[in-house]
Amino acid sequence: MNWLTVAWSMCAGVCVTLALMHSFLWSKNRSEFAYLLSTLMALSAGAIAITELSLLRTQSIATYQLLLQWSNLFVYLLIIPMVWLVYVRLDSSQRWLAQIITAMWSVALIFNFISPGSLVYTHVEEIKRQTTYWGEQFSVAVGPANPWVLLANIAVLLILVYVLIAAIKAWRRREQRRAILIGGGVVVFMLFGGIHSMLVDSGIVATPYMVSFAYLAIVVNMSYELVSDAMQAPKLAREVEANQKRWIDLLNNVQLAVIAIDPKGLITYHNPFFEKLTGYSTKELYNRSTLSLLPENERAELNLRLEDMAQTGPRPHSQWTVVCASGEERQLAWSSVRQVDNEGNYSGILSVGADITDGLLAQKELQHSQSELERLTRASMLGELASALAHELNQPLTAILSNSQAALRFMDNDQVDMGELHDILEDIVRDDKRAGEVIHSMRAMLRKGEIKREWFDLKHALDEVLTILHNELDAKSIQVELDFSEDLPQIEAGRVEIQQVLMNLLLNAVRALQSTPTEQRFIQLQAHIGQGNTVCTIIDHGAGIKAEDIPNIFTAFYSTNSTGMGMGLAICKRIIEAHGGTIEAKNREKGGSIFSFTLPIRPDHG
Amino acid sequence: MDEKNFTLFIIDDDASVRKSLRRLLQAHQYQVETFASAEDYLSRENYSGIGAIILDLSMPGLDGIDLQARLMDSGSPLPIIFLTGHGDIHSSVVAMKQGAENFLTKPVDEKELLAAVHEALVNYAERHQKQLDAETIRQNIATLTPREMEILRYVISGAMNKQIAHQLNIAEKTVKVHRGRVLEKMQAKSVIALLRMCDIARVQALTISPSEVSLSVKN
Repeated sequence: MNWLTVAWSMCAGVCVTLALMHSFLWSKNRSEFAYLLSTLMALSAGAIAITELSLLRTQSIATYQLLLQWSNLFVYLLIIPMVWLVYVRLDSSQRWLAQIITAMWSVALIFNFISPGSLVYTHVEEIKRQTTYWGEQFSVAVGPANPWVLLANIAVLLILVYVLIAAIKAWRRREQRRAILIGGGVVVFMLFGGIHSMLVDSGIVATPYMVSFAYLAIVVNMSYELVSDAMQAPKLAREVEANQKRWIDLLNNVQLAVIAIDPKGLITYHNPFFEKLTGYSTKELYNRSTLSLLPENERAELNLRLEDMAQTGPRPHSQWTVVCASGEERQLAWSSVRQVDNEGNYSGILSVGADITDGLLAQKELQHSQSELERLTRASMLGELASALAHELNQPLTAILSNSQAALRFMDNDQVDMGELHDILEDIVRDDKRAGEVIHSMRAMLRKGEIKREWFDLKHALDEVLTILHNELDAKSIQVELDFSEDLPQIEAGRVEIQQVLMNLLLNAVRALQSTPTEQRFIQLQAHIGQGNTVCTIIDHGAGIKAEDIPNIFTAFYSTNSTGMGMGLAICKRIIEAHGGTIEAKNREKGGSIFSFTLPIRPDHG
Repeated sequence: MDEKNFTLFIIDDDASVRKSLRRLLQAHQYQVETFASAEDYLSRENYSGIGAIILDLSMPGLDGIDLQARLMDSGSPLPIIFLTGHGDIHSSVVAMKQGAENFLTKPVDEKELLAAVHEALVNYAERHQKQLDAETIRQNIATLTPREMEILRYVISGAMNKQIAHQLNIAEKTVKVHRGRVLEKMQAKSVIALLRMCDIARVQALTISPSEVSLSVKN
């Protein structure tokens, strides 16, 4: 039994089988050039195996030289398709490299046929018979090397570089399987073939050249890659089908209108929801002009827009009224995309529309009720202001009226007491001024007045306020805890105004503690630096604020106690904001309320 | 009616209002006393003459409604005229329920104020007079002897002297004497006047029933 014959024949057989398989695949799918290329590769590999086997057995120099030339032609026919297959399958962008490789090999091929000893030798001097380990004889040629073989060798190196680059890129695109099977396979087996040939040349390994096996391995690798792709085709087809079903399900059941409009503005597709919405039948809608579905006042606008669409595409969002079969008008918010055909020509638009009629109505109602609420709020604010003003003004007005009428009475007497009249008039003047002051101070409450700023210690200002409140706090057994940071800077602010804020907040806290057991009547006063501000916090352990009151607690005339005018906290807010600070109220977790305000820290004075 | 001796008590926390009202009411010949708070008024000794209180509704400390309640509890008879800065419906309802004489809003006009004061004083004077009368009658009744009292009670029941004499088992002449003394002591000019007095003083009449008559005959 001749093992060499068996091995090389089998190699050739496998190659031809693969070639047949690939040619079959190609015949099924002519546009897939990869199959054509791999068919060529497999055929060439088979041819290489057969010529190699002949080379091993020939003992004639002339035959050997001829076989060598043919062998190199088949190598050429394998390598060039391989390069282009890599180009196709790994999406290599190195087209120029593939072209250079092809050109170099083509040139080398010319020299292959010019030189009598093919590309390998200038000529074959003699045929040597060598023996394998197991005693089979095979032929090896001896002759001077052809210098043009260098060209082929460089081209092989370029192939390695080219394939490596393509494989790495494919790997980075997460096509790892392809990168390994195609790129890795080509590189490994070409290196194996090259290194093995060198070992044979140097006499270290006593086997024939096994280039055809390396090529076989490459072809098998690529076949595997290609066929596994082909095997996936039915799976892909199922996926496409499932995908399509998903879209159809979506279009048929979604509660959104979907329509396709051709460049003339005619409806070419609509989904069932659009039918349901408009009340028109499929027949009535198909090829109907979209214009006819709009109320007349919107038609000119849509006409313009349809013209624009051809040029620039639709606006991503638009709102159109749709007149239903019943005459009812529905508002739809549309989102549209421009479509182009395979040649890149405008072919119409696809639009998805949501019925927002009910939402718009609800929104309108909400707006109406909101403005109504605002009006009522303003009215009640005015009412309360009027009531407060009336209360404050009634006292001096009462005095003025009574004094005037008393004066009239005196003047009826025979003897007018001029001194008494003088007193009365003085009183009238005083009460009139007082009424003026009421109005003035009311205005000051409502408007930002000029604040006289000065530098002072918040702690000092607070101490003064606490002195004023001392009796009140004592009488109600309220304990005040102070927690002021050591490093508090002086603040630049209206001293009186800040004291008013502290006073108001403290009185608020005192009120909040009214129904708290005496031993629990605590007010904590804290001040520290936070985010470029002096932060002052007043915490009481009282009843807390009702949740519904918190958002309005700083609103003027919003009072939570029946006797208050609702001005105290509104004034606090105005003062703090006039200083560039903020004020907020919240409830303490364990009961009670927390009021805190900030004052921006300014660069120190001198 | 001469109102010169009637005193008006003005209670208002506002000094200007107090002063001007005092001036106006004094110009109309009223005696006026002013108080800056409800507490001040309560510490004044009781006034027994005819007068009225002009009371501010909203004051620090005890407010108008509180003071009114206290005065009612302590049996003060003086009518109260409320003055209020703004028409507080709730307070006015409470005040009227508690028996306020009137409810005026500030600034109050002279005519309105005087009319209210006058009406309050007239009403009060009438009530006061009735009380005075009742007091005199009670004092007069206290001077009667038990026998005279007994005879009075029979007389106002419409019993004849003869019937009374028979009932008490005394001489008709004696009844006549007692009767004359009762009229004299009660300062009554006629039996009709006596009847009215007994009505005011709530003296119970004694009636002579026919059965009682027959019973006493047997005895």
